[in-house]
Amino acid sequence: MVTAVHGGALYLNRPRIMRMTEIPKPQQFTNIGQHSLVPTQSLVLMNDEFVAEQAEHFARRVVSQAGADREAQVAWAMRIALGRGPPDESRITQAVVFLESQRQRMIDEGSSPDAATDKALADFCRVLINLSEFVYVD
Amino acid sequence: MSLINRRQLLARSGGAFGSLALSWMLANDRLLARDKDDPFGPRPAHFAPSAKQVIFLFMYGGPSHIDLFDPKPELDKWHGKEIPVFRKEDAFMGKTKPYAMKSPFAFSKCGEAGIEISDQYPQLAKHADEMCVIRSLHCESNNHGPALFQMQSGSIMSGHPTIGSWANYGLGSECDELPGFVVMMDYQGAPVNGAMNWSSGFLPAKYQAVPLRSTGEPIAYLRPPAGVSSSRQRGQLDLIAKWNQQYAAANPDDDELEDRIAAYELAYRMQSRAPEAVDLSQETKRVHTAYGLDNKVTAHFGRNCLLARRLVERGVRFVQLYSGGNEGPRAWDAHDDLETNHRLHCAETDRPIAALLSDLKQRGMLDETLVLWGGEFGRTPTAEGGKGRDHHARGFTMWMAGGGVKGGKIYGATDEFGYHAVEQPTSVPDLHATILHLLGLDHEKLTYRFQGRDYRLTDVSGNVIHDILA
Repeated sequence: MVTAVHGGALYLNRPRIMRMTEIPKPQQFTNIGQHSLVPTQSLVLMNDEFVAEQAEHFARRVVSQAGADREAQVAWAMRIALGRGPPDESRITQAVVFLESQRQRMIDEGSSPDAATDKALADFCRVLINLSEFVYVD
Repeated sequence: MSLINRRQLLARSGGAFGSLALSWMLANDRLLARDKDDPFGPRPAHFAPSAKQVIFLFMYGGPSHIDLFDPKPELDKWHGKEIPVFRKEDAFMGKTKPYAMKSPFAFSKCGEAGIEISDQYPQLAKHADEMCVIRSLHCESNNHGPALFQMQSGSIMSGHPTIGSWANYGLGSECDELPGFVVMMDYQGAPVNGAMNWSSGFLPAKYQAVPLRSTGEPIAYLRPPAGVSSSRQRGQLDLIAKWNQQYAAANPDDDELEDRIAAYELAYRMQSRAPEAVDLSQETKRVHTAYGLDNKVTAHFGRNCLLARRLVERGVRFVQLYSGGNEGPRAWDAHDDLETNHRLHCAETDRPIAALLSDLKQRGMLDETLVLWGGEFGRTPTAEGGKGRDHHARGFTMWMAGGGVKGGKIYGATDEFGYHAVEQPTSVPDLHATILHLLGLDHEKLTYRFQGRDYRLTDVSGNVIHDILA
């Protein structure tokens, strides 16, 4: 994670989520952007409320576009987040296993079956946002 | 990575030569207990170390050696007169004069060894017999940016790994749940060059420092969002790790992808351990008072010194604390008014540093913890404007304590004006070679192959200062 490209006027009053990233300093010129990769940045994507909210929004969008079928949800969500669908069947299988086990966890923790289904999909969307493939530009 | 790396090589051939040459290290059960594939795990040193960890107290901006640790009575005599050693090209600012400026501070001989320390460091002075004062440092730039780069990485150019990264690359981390290299900034902000001061350069990214926040909770986002249980998060992380590994395998030339997986795992473990490590409420009121947390002037640096002690106690290898941030008078960069500037920064750091040394000693940790004090250069014996001093790279002071260095020792000397390092001149690579030596690392053997050649922290120079080793 890396360098945010658009620092601009936000430099002095950055949103919480941006405070762990390097951003260009308007008063300094440089031939190459500052770069860092530390566990505290992983903590942001793991634990920030904004990321959680966006994952929930994304999950609702997945349901509205791909319907209730899990395999279709996985394929559509991956295509939107990563610009490509699942590379093979095994990814879909792994994702569906994940959705089911997260759903079961949430039920064990007291969620209703419907709420657990929603939360599991939001968790999958959160996983996508945390992937190297999402974070890094190739 | 298609090539075998150093770690894999050591793991695979460990039985062959590790058990002979490094048998002393095998006593370390922690090392044996650790997973060989743990990318942050400990690695054997080249020889038995005297220091396990380093606390680098970085006085950013250039503290004045001649006003703190290297008194020059000649400056009183020459005050206002042109000194013969001054060279215009050594000055950074055009308005710097060739006229001597006497120190506004008084010195006294401290401890049994009689080391001279400025009256601005009265608490620290009580530790004179633990200090090894190196009065003969010199560096290659009188400009903050390049001089910082050199003090951190050996090179005045950016892009090279910093010393804390080298230490962690060489030795790994003793602690599963905290990063091996941590920096803490001044309340005034980061020094110039920002994160490049603790960059891992061309070493793998996992060796760069984790900065702790200077105010509030030291580490942000240590807790999962409300309503997310640890097991639910573990489920997410398992899928993230699995897919990140597949992605890294498909992109073998990008070692940062593997480091990113390691960063996630460390982040997850930090959630369990770090809140306790950075919780200063666990310390007694007596400790808070000793570090100066109850005083507005000392509270910030005191907090960082206390955090540093807690971190090294838990196995963090290299901690760097900054006094002074941003630029100009907010750092030790006393261009305009040396007396006011150094009075403030000494007051901010004196009690916390003294408390840190006492605390480490009391806990039996000073012997294995190298404490290092210094900035990127010193200051001119001549005046800048009326009351300031300019940057000075030709001679300056740093001191060390603990970690296997002699206490009550003065090493090297500047000339009678404090201008040139003339006796036992000590380059930054000499300093770096010595720090690595104390950590059990041979600076000529600690190499990393990059762009077709083996790089060292000390590049092609550096001599261990054997005179200061206990």
